[in-house]
Amino acid sequence: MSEAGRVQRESALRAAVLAGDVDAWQAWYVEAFAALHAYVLWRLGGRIDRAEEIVQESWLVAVRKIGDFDPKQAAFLTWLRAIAANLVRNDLRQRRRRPTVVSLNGDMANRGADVDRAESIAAALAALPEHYERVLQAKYVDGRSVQEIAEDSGQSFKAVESLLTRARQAFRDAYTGDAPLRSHAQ
Amino acid sequence: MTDSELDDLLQPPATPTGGGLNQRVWRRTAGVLRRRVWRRRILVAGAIAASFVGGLALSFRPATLHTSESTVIVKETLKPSTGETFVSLTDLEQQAELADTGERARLYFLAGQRYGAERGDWSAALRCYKQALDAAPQAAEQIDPKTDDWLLMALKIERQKE
Repeated sequence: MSEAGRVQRESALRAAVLAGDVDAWQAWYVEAFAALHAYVLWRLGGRIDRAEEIVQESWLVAVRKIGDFDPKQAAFLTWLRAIAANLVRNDLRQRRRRPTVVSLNGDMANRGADVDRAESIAAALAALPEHYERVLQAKYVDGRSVQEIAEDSGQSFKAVESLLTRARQAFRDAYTGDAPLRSHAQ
Repeated sequence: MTDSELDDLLQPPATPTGGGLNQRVWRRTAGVLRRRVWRRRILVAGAIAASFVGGLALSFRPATLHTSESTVIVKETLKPSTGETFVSLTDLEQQAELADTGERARLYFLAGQRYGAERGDWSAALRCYKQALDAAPQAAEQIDPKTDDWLLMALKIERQKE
């Protein structure tokens, strides 16, 4: 679907939802639910329990603030993911203030290691500049090729390839705690 | 960290199936939407009710205006002839009582009209009109819708039947 077609369709859906059309809302919901869930899980490093809460909260925020959604500025899923990204950031901030105590015996030790890994992934992704996070999301969550990302964003293949390399390096540094992230944002 | 290990970290985790998250979230969001629709309907109904009440209130306005217009017209018709001063209703009724027969009828008609138009005091108007028609019975034979109000017309019709 062309960009103009998408804007037209999403504008009509938005108007219908604002008028209280549950079917229009369902059309959006069915289309975007799995994609949002996958994104939130990715952002949280696979924390299923946290992801469920964030997904639920994201949809509730979306249905309440659908009037703020402007199809000309972004696709519905992009807007929805931005809501979820904010909630993930808030969630991480809150949990940093209340650190989780994990037992190191038996299965709990493995679970604790998984939680730590998930937390580190989530923290590294949350610390990335937005354009890095977006290109990593396009490649890993949406499964887009470099060529497709280039076409979607209107950039050259080389530029996207280079951006992806820098984004991966920034994530690596953030995950291992090597370098200040914002220095990669240039 | 190798590129392969990095890819492993960045790979999206498998999305769990089941658990009812999809249905649970759907029910909650659809509920928000339905409640919003009901709230809007209630607001619309309230607005319609308010408009209705406002319309009812306004419907009394023309009647009030009509009365004041009548007052103006009557006042014009009841203005005393040149040289005559515009006296109070009490004085007018008293003058009518003391006047000669011809003048008496004219003054009572005037007083009756003014009681009805200026004060809406139809019982006083009835009293004056009766006196006027008693003083000039022939006046009952002519009904003039331009100058006679509804009470005077009714009395004249009644007198014609007698």
